[in-house]
Amino acid sequence: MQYFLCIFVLLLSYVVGNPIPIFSPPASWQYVHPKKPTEYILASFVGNGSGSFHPSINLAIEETELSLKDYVKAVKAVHTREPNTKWRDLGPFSMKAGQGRLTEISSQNPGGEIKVLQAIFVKDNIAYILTCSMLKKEFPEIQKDVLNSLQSLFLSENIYSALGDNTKETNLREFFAKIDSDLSNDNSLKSKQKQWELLQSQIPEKYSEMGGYWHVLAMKEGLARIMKDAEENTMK
Amino acid sequence: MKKVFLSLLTIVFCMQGIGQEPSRNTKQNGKAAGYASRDATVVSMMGWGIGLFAGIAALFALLDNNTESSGGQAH
Repeated sequence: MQYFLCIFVLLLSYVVGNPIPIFSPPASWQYVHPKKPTEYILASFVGNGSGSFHPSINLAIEETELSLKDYVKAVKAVHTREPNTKWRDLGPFSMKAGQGRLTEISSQNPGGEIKVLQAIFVKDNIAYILTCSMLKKEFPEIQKDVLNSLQSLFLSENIYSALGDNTKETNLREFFAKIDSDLSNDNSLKSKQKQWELLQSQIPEKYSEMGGYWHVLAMKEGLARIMKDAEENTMK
Repeated sequence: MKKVFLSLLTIVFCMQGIGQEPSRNTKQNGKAAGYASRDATVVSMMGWGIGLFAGIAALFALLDNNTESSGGQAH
């Protein structure tokens, strides 16, 4: 019996899922839905710029066996291979998830010098990278918002526990349950559109403090429930 | 004897786990950071405002077309 228990524990360690990284992009920055998602990139947001170069921020993840220190060295090697690019380690950087590292990449662009800030956090063999790109001359105006966004990264088991409040978690679960219930009574296209509109208005309104990326994840969860019924109807 | 067997089993199991993931030892670390900075620059230059909402609106339009055509065929 003891043998089987030990084997079970060993197997369990391989099955544990990875947490979800969540961050808050600057308010009013718009989610980017690319036709062809880039490898490693989970999400991108773009803000308004004075010229043709708009500030943007993205979240990427990568499996790694390296420590934070060694991963940053590997990142330096990747960036310094690019021509006309300067890379700088700005030092330790506190994020909600823990202690990370902030780096800066500078390069030239017809519109002006580009400044890219990259915040890196490593935990449990996964590197989490938040990257913000902007024109260097515009950085002073948006510095506070950008640094707040980079610091906002945290890891959560799921979108519900990310709320950090049992009442809000229950409310969100009930909200999704109501979508399921309403659609089971009326799964017409009009009803689905109504549910989608409700999702778009309610999620940012009721959970404004959670930030744009969490809103995207929550809306994707709701959309999956709405579309699940559409897929089932198509197959009938 | 039982302890020896258990220890051997643990070692074999752990070594199998390592053996099945050679890519971690040989893969190039830092690639994600390279992709991320390039992608951020591209998005900044494109200034994409194609939001999730626009994409889903298009999806509903597609569903609408499918519903109309299947309704037409039923009649």
